[in-house]
Amino acid sequence: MKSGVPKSTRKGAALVWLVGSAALVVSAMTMVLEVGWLNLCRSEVRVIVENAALAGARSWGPAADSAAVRTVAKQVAIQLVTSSTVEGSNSELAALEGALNASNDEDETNNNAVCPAATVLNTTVFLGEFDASTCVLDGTVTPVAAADRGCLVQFTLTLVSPFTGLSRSVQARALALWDPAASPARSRLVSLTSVTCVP
Amino acid sequence: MILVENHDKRLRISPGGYRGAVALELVVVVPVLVFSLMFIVHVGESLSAAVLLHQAANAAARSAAESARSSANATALVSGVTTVANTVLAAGGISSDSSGPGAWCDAHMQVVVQERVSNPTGSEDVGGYEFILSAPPASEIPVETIRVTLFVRQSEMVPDLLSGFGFSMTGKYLQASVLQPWNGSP
Repeated sequence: MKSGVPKSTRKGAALVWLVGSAALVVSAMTMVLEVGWLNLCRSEVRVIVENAALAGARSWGPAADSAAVRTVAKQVAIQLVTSSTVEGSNSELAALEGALNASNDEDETNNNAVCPAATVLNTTVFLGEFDASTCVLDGTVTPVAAADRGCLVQFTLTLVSPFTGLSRSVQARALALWDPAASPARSRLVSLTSVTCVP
Repeated sequence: MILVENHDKRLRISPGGYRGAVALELVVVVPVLVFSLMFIVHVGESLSAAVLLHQAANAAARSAAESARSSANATALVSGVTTVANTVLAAGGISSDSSGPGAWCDAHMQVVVQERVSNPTGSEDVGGYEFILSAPPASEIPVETIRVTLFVRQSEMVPDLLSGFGFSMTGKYLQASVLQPWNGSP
């Protein structure tokens, strides 16, 4: 091997390369695992929040409106969240139960004790009147006609990465509307522009 | 090579011997690098497969939730769930049953449909090849919900890149489960 580098300076070069490349490979592996795991968690959480909203809208939609009925609707949505799993674990979602229950108050309009935050999603189940033309959910209107009953579920979930041990936040929000015109009548997911809420 | 040279002068390699030393380094380092590369690809493929399987389970659960309840027609419900899951997996290039559930589904996919309507203990309908290891009991899911769990052999979803290094995927499977509220006719 001929090169401009004296042979004596080659001592330890292979070791340095090996250690350097090993660190690089381990970092790359950790990054791949972390990103993939986070995407999988996001996908699972999105499905959970959608299904919870569908469950809440389905429970509230066909019933005669009352505070007790709205409580049941919120409970149905909450139970779906707390019974689900993310990456095989239920503990993170079960821990949301207290905060989700705190969003229900039968003395408040539409039982809404907590207004949904838009930026960092707070943990709440919110009921209101959905305007299909503007995609606005109004929690201040009561009573709400059956065809306009929307159930919004949102939360921020903190998960600990099994690969890096770092805490990662996953946000999810979904709004479902009761659709009595469908055959058979059912709830369906709809887009949301904004929420009207008076705390 | 260099460490040996440092600690034992008797083993000092002559200048012409560096060719052999480089070859030796390659022999040691290349398998490690190849394994690392294969491992990264394997994990990436596994996570991608897990997302696809979850999408299949979600689509199957949505479909099941809007169909007639299984107490009236259990066979049709499981068949419908299998069809939807197979459609998603075929579109993702996993299932070879392009015209509906067939040999691939029978051999490589397990579908578990669990429901609770007003039944306090829940009921369970299972279709596909019997290689399920465990499934959570139906009694744990909320009333008025349906849970679809899919099990697919890992070897069918992820290229077997690590078998040459002694890691076998035989007997391993990927699992995805989705809980869905009933959303059809009562």
